[in-house]
Amino acid sequence: MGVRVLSQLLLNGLAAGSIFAIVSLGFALVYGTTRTLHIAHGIVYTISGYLFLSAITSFQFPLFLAILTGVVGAAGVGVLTELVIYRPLFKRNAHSAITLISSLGIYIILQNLAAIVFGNQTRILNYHTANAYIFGGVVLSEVQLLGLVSVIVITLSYSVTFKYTRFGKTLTAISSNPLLAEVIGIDIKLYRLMVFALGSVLAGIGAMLSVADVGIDPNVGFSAVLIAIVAVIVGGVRNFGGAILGGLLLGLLQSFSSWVLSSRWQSAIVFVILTTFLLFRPEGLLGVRMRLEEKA
Amino acid sequence: MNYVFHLLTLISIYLLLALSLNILVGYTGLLSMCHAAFLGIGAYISAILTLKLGLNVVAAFALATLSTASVSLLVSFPTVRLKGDYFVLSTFAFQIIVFEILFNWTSLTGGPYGLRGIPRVSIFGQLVDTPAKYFVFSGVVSGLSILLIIVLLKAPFGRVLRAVRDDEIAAEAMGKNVSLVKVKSFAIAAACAGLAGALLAHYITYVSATSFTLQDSIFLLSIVLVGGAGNLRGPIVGTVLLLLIPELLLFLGMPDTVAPNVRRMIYGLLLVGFVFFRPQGIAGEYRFEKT
Amino acid sequence: MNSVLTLETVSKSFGGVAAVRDVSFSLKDAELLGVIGPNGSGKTTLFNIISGFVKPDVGRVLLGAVDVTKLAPYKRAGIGIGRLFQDARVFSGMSVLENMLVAQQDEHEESLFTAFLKWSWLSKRKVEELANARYWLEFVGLSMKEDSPALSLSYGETKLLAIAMLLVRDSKVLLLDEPISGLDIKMRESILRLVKKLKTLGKSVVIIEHSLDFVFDVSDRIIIFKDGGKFHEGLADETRQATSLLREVYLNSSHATVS
Repeated sequence: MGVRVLSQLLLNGLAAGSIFAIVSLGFALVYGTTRTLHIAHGIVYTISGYLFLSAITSFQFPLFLAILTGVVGAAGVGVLTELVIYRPLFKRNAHSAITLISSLGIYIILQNLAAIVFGNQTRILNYHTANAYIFGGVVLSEVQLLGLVSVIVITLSYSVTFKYTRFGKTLTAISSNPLLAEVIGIDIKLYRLMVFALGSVLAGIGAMLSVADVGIDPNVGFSAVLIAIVAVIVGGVRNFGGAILGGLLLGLLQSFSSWVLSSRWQSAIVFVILTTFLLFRPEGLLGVRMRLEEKA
Repeated sequence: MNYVFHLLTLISIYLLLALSLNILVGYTGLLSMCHAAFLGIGAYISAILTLKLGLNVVAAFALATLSTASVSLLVSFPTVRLKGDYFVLSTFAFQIIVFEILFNWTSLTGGPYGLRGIPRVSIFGQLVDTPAKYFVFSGVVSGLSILLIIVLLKAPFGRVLRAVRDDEIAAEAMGKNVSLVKVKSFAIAAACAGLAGALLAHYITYVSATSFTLQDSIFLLSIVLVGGAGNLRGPIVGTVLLLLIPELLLFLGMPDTVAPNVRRMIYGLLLVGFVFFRPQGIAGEYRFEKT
Repeated sequence: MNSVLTLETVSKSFGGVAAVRDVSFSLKDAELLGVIGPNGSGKTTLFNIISGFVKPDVGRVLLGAVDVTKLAPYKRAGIGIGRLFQDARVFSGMSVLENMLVAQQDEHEESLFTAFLKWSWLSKRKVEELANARYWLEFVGLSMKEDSPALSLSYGETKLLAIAMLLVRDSKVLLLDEPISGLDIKMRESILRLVKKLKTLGKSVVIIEHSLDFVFDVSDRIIIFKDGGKFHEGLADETRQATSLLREVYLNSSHATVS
């Protein structure tokens, strides 16, 4: 395999991985703080993508306004699911199965609604993505570049926020011990809302990048959230940043494996990896092996 | 009239599926997202044994059932000790992996095209080739299996399942080998699903991986959760209700393009509605309460 | 050695913090050992180690002469260790009577084989089990509630049920974690009488409790726990007199909580 091919695969992998990473970070923020398997994160993704697409193609919005639409739409859907579904269940201390199924149900309802409204076929953005950049023989499309830049910016913002701001430190506290956090006076409800808003915005950003890259259909959200789940488990549940690493790795995996194997086995590989981690390294790559506290 | 028997046949098969999933969800407290995968495994194994190896149908049914149960051990052994959420994710992963294998391993499973021309069942020389005849056949097979399930759940075994469901740690402290109980429960449910798969395969005489997806597992879960988990009535109500909804939609003349989406939206609404407001479903008993 | 339960130099740390340090003691046959000490001194971890939910870093746990240190919790329950949890865990989805039945069932009875093939044996067993269940429900005073869902029981009644479940299993060694916490005076007296009866039944008991009156009343010997280690061990009567000792433990510990 020549260096050029290798570099191209690497870059493609990182570009795809950047979208995965952004979406997964959003998921990780929600999961880490609220311990909810927020399947509906996938529909936040989908709706944001469709809003962005419609804003540009049907309403002829300028780009920044379309992006705003996508971001606001994402945050709106995310916050709504928290207020309408997760919060009441949290307040009545519901079984995690109930929360999971509710999330799944919301996803199903909204996905099929989207299919009815926007149609089942794939829609693409006829945008100006003719722009491509070439670095030493390796091709990078405009969207891919945008993705890479975004993930770098987001990762840096994340690191700074979580190490130095009160917001970040509070979230870390909540995620490591939710009960204690409540006891010492942290307004859990407010933080939950913020985390859903922020996590959903990240999903939206990922969705919009993806729409610009390959278009959208009603099912994209499901793959997105499944990848996010795998990325979070692989990267490490305790550490939000693990999701970024997981997302990038999955992007690289996708890129390199499509070179070696037919792309039809990709999903299976991703899930074999998930299973392997669940069984042998559930704390993820960045996680610390926590001795199981007494179960009783 | 044929149509009625067709519906009744499907009900008999789905009843077996629902009651077996109920063993996991309503009696053992295991949320399984891979029941359709077991259905598919049973269907394909029976199809392949009869179609490609010429095995007689009764043997194929038996082998399909046993094999599916054996495969379930592969899943349950390593995962039953994982905590709740992670166990569910493992079943998710298993479902997807199985679908990918069934859909992509073309040489074995026919890939996206599936397998056609699956031989019909013949009993005492009689070919079971009409919906009416098949209804009698599947009714008997399914009915006998369901009877066995009932016996099992009323026995001390059923009680230990519920103990594990209600409080694993207390169950351990009372001398119950919780992991083994879960593995057994999973195997029984998988065996029933495998049998249901064989019944389906030889009725439709065609199997395709697209019938055994994650969405189908979720559909089965909906039957159990909407109808109600933890007793026998719930899954029966759920099966009849959720199988009749598409028929109702057809009746109301929903346009073909949106019918599947509308149908799934209704399932989604029912699912959320019940799980959120009435977790014991229409006629079930288990409320997913935390100790 | 007629010690029914022995701990030898048991230590356990969680993430660098020592929860139990170098604890050794033995429980004699039909003896009642009271364990007292401030919150956070490691008492529940001790119970977790004895019942098998936590494995010690160092040391051994012996049931009689058998080393059970590595044995799974369900196996230890099978050879005679019974545990009452602080939050009185019972099976909320079943009735009181069903809870008592499931407590008695053994592995053979619960097997698939038996479910399908040994019906007459099962019905005979059930008759015995129902009789046992009713006997012990009467013993703890819950006969009236035998068909009630376990979920509907009051906190005190749940504790009584949990104790009845231990008794019906005929466990030799009982670990009672705060059996009277959160109960009203009447219930406390019921449990006090019950615990005293346990000794006449030949059970060996370890009790964790915060109510010093209760503990000194029922125990033969006392161990005082502090900061994960054994601070003092002695006969109940003597320890009761040692008020300065008790003051030191409860008021001077890093987790000062006077009960």
